Amino acid sequence: MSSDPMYSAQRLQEIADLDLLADGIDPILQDVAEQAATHLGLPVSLISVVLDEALHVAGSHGLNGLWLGETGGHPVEWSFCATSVRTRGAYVVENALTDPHHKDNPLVVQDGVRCYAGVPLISSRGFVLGNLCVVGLAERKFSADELAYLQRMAAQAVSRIEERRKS
Amino acid sequence: MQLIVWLLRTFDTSLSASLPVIPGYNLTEPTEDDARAALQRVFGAAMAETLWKAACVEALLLPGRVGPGVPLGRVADALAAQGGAAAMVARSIEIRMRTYYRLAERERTLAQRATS
Repeated sequence: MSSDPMYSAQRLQEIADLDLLADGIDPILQDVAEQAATHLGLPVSLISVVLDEALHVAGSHGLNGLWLGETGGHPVEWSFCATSVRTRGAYVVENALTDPHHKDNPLVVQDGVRCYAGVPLISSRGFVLGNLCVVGLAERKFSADELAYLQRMAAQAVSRIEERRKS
Repeated sequence: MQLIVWLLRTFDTSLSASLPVIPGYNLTEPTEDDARAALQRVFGAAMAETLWKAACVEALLLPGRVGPGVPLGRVADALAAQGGAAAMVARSIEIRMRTYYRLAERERTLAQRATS
């Protein structure tokens, strides 16, 4: 077994316990994604769930007509969101074309992703479930205020997710 | 929708061998070996084998002889039905399969357009 939190059976069990893969999980998560994209003026926002080998999209804005909208996720090795599972912090890529970790990422080279900002969704039991993130097709800087906004929205999303455990 | 149903409705997976790697994405068709390795990373070798064999029994397939495409989709669906962390690994396998076949289909469509 790996000691990498990406492959932690306990973390995956937490995702299962919170029923995060259910179809149409919660319209509020969809709203959070839409509000985040609108607030930051970016075309795409996701509530992602980072699994062991793939990213699952639990809520989204701006995926209509894209292959990601049909598959509901993508291989984890292309994921910007996976970084937060290991660091437990916000992750920002202002220009993916020059970013050493992502300049060869197919989502960048083939699909045009250029900027990314994501903050982790951390459950009350301390597991990183995924991210609230925004994605753009042009180079962009992200201010501290914008990251703070994403943190607030992520807290709102986690609160909503945790209510499901109580009910 | 169950993976097996989606695969049968959406793609002719028998054509997948003609596209071993999706150009530009470096993505290969998911195999039984990939799925078993994923289970081992999460559960360790012994538990992974137990879970995989149980899913194969449920899917009426022999461990070690699960082909890509529809057969692997049947075992992934059976693994998902076990629930808990195993179901999360199954969803990872499913997403990787969906992505591969969706992008393979797009490549085929583009190639057909280019030659017509």
